Amino acid sequence: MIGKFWNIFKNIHYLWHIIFAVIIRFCFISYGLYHDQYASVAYTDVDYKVFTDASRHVLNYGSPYSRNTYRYSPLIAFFLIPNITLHHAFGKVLFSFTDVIVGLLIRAIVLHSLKLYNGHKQKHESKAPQVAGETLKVEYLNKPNIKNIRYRKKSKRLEGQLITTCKTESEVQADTSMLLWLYNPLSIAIATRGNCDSIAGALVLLTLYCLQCKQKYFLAGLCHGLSVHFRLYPLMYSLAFYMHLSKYSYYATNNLFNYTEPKSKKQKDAKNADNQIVETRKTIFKKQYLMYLVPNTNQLRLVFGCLTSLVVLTSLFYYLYGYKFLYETYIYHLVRKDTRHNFSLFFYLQYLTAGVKNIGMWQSVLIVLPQLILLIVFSIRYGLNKFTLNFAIVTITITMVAYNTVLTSQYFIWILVVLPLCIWQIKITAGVALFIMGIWFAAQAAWLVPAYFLEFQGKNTFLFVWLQSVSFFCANIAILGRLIMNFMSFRKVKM
Amino acid sequence: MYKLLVLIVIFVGITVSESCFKLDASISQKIENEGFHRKILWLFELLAPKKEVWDESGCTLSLLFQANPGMYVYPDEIYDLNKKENVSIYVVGDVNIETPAHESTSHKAFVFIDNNNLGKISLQLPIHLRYQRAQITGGYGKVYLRRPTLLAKCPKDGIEICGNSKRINGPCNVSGVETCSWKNVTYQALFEDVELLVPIGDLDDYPIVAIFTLMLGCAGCIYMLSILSTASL
Repeated sequence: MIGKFWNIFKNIHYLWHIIFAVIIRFCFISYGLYHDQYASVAYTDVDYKVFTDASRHVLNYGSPYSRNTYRYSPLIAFFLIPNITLHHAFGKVLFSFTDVIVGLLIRAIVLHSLKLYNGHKQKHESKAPQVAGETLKVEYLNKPNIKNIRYRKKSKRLEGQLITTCKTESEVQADTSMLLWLYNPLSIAIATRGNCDSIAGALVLLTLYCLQCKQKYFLAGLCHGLSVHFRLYPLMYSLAFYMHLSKYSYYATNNLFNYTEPKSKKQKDAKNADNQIVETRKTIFKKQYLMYLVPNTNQLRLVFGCLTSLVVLTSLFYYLYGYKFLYETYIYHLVRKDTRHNFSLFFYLQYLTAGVKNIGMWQSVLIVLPQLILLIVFSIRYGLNKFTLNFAIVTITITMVAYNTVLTSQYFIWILVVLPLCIWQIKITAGVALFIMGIWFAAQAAWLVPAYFLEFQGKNTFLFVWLQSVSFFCANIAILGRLIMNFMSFRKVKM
Repeated sequence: MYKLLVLIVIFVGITVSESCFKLDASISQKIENEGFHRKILWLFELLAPKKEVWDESGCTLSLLFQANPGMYVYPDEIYDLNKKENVSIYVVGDVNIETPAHESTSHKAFVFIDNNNLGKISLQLPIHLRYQRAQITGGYGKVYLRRPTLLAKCPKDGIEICGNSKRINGPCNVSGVETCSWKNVTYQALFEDVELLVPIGDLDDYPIVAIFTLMLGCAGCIYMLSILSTASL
């Protein structure tokens, strides 16, 4: 029954989903307006009021940083000026529309990735490796989905005009990715409560779109610079983007167990290798890999684009608002030390050592080094493969969130924006996916119990909160491990 | 001539004593909620003068609450409270809500008392306790809750509340635009001094927390690298 419903649901034309998504968001915005009038606990996010107050300052030719705790780009304050002049819910509408754009970008990127992938697969079908009586069953995703068509015919009879097109498997996959974002309760809540993180997510996706779909590298750089200016965290994606444009980048889809070292001189030199197809490659550090850092024209375009937007925006706003802008927008996020309890593995350690002077450098090094190693490894390994840039972004984001020294629920949206991009590449059953989600939510719920007793009952449960932070970290790492293990792994069929 | 002079002095004395009236008020206090987020409830009662006399005087009252570094009054929350509930509170001073107690400064909150409902009036002020520096054996830290100061200001010339207590400069009203001189007035406190308890991290946990946390971070990294070395691409 659920399966039937899901098949009908995902085969609805994607524009209908966009309309539904907009309607849902408008309903929540309207509910928020009503709720805020009568309830003692507001629906609207605390930061939304901060944005609005900052906009008021800007409208009065002042600095948005005159508003206490405004620690964002001045652009948000500019965008939300209609909150004062038009309606105070304007920002929520803007964030909701950005949400929809995020959905469309996800669809476009996934469609492009599938097209590229299928084209490559079809081209090299005859070269499918056979190892010890096993073969990899390659699933062609652009073939018509017979099962879906059957449902579609049935549902067409039932629902008249609702289903308008005959979708290919690729379109179904792309639409499924989009739906995961559009109907995600967290993304709906974040946008309609007035949190600006959907804009940051949209800018990250726009960079990926320009980079992969449009191959406009300077434009991609401009978008990347803008996203870094807007929210500092996309800076971590820079190396992966850079590697993606490397002349050493390649297309690989096969299992690593079938790894063969490239032998030809052409392959080794990797000159003119932008479109080179290497079936498999193992990314293990070698000295010659340092050559990967030597930029080519496309990489220079990306870097100059990024620097252009970043320098222009930073200079402009520094000129307008001075050091306060630099501190609140950039420096604060780098030096932030919030010792209050949060999901982070490091919260209790940071709290215990707050104000203690004789803490060695080794502690800071051991906090930063593991995540730095992982970020570099993921950037290079998945950034170099043309098919896996999106997965590189997902792994980098999960690592960044899991290892962050301050971790709140708001940061999960960073993962949720990019995760749908590579759902089609992660081969897990619905049961396993539900199990993973169950573990993730259970770990959070388990953390909330001692945190509640600490915060609202005044019980000394610091140690228990820390233990739950440990288990949440383990859950995040285990899930990341599971995603990696099931990424691009094709079902093996015994011959 | 001498008798006339004495009469004038007595007349002036009587006139002056009439413009200075005695204020008699009592306050009881209750703390709601546990943990880091508390609410102070005050029940203010004006015993003297009578309401008509007070209304005629044009004087207004407020409570001044001094939040010590162990706690803070959240200005954004107060802003919402002023809009939604029937309260008028103004926070004076910069409030950093993220810093622990040992890195924070004290600040003040003026709770204005509505003249229309004078008699028995209940007032509220939400406060939040800050994290305190971790200590050996952990346990609970104490945050001393200062008693509120009752302030009065009388704008009309010649009308004053009796007593020579000190004056404090503060906001005239909830907008905080203008500054007025408020007079400190004594009141009957129908409550005991309160110390709020706040959980404190245990420094005895430090060795195990440090070793386990840092090792787990490294283990997570090694685990990922080991998966990468075997996983398909």
